[in-house]
Amino acid sequence: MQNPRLASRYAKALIDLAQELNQLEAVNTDMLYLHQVLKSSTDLVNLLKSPIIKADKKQKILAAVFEGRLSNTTFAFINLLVSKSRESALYEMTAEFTRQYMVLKNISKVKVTTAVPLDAATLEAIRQKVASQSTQEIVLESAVDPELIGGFVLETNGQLIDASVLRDLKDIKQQFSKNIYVSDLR
Amino acid sequence: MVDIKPDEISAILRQQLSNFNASADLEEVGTVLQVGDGIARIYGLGNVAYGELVEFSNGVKAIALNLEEDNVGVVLMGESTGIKEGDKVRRTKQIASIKVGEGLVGRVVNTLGEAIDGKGPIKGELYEMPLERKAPGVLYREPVKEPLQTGVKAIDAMIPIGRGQRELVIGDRQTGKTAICIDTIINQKEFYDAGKPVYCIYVAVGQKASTVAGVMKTLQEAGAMAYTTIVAANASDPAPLQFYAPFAGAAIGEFFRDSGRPALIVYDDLSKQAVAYREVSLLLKRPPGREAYPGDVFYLHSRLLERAAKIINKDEIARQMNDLPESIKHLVKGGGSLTALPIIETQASDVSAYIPTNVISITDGQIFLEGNLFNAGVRPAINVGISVSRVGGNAQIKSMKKVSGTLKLDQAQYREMEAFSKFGGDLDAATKAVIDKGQRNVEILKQPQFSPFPVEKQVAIIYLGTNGLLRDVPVKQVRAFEEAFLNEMSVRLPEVLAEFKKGNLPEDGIKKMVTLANELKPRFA
Repeated sequence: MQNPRLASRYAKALIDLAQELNQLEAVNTDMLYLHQVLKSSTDLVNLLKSPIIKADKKQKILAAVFEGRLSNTTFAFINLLVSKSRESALYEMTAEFTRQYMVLKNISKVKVTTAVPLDAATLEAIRQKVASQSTQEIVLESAVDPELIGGFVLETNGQLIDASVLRDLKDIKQQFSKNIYVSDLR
Repeated sequence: MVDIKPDEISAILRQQLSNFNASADLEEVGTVLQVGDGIARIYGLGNVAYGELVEFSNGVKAIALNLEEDNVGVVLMGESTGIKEGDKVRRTKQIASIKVGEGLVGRVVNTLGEAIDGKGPIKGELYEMPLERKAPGVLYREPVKEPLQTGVKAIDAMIPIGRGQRELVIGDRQTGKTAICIDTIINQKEFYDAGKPVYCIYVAVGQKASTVAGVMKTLQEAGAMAYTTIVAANASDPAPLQFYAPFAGAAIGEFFRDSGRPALIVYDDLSKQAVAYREVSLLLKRPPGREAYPGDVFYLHSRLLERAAKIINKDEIARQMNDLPESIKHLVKGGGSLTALPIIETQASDVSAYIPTNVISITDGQIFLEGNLFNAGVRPAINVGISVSRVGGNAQIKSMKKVSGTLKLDQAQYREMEAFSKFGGDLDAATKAVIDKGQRNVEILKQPQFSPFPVEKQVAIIYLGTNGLLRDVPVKQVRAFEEAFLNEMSVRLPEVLAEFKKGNLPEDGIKKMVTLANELKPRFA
């Protein structure tokens, strides 16, 4: 992230406009879609970042890729970026837009990571438990990481509850390695 | 290695495991964006405080030094290998601190307060002391008035140091800066033996581990480790550990100072600390200034040296001292002191470089050591002409003050005349007398390494020097005479020496001393 202010200013402008035009939901879907596309295609990101490819060419390519799949507002936004030569920051802007959208809608994203996949009932139970601790609406995201061995990791907004077996083992290991007597025994 | 029985091992294991807390807490975390050169940039950690300790998932600790809009710059207090992009970093919610207690005396520790001398963990009760702490305010201080005897004749007579003072020791490499400070530490043994120890802290910054081991051995052989702590951040340690080492030393010194006891701290040396700080600052992309040092390098040294203080001798006032750490509040007593002897190494005697001028202006005086004096055999190689102590005058015992009053002037005159005499030709009697006296005084002020002189003996020999009683002794014989004279004094006139030590100059005692000196003189003619 080279310039954090850049992304947040463009994202804010877009959010304000979308609210005015009553297209917030549509633009948000577009942004999520754009984010997904850019994440999966490094070629497209490289194209946007390339200083050699001329603006009109980029505009044509983007039109070919996205024509008809995005709302008019979003499409106009992309064209604006290209004409202002800020298209290289599009990926950051989509992420920033989603972040600002969630602040606006009072939604917070919580990521739960477990060693084995959880069933829907457990996820719902976790979601309700977390929601009861917070005033915000909770969107639960789940991930599986077998390295955790057991337990779970809950993560949101730079806060973390780590109740995994992996973490416990790490802590125990550290406790032993700090102990002067024990390290002498080796 | 000590044999440990299997059941002992399992007992230790059980104890370790029983300490283990398996419940998970809510943590504030960030992710590593980049790591390298001993610093890392972290995304997240929105609420982290300046100077707070953060912990990486592999247990390495770091200090947050740059709080920027989109990231946090931290300096690693350990190895950066094993830290990957995307690793989690968590807040510890405590500012950088060190655990201090009586058990530190006689030990060698690193900047984090961990023992590195292989003698096991630090014993006894330990108190948390912050590395960065504001110096005591004006209300809680007292003027410097008690002497801190260095045992070096030239210093105690002409550049006296008081408890709570900051006296800079400055000079080129290989001029005996460390030696003077080690001598001073060794000389505190007298007070340790008398049951009123001056606790000493020797902070080695960026030195070779072998040098530190050498210093430790010297102190051990002199019996000085019994009241000394060594804080070592060697040349191989990360730069943050090196520039925080003096702060760790100061935290240890403050523990003694605030519990009403005198302490002495030697920072060896602050030029290396400044270099380590410069390294970290440049890596954190702070703008460089003169000699590429960051803008706050003056503040780095001034806030460190300001922590040397003499605390007011009233317990009830001392207890209200500013910024007292919670952990030692119940131990606070008045009357303690922390004396600092920072060392600065100059390049080719250039005292007008950035760091030397800074530290000269911060301290209460300086001791200049010169290479050409050293090579001419004047050891300690102190240039008494430009060395000063701005507060030490009140911190001399009375007898020494009286005896050495004219010494500095005499020596200044001598140096002026000496330049004359080099042109050859005849000199008038007065000039010759000045030169004769000066030459003998220079001899008196020489002393070998690791052999500090008790103050009463200093008074005795300097009395003879300043009163011109050595003029019949050939210059080359002065040191031999001095040794014989002081031996005789301690055997035959111990009561006179005891009076000197108390600060008195009894007339009959001086008469006896002069007669004794005159008796000895023929032997050295």
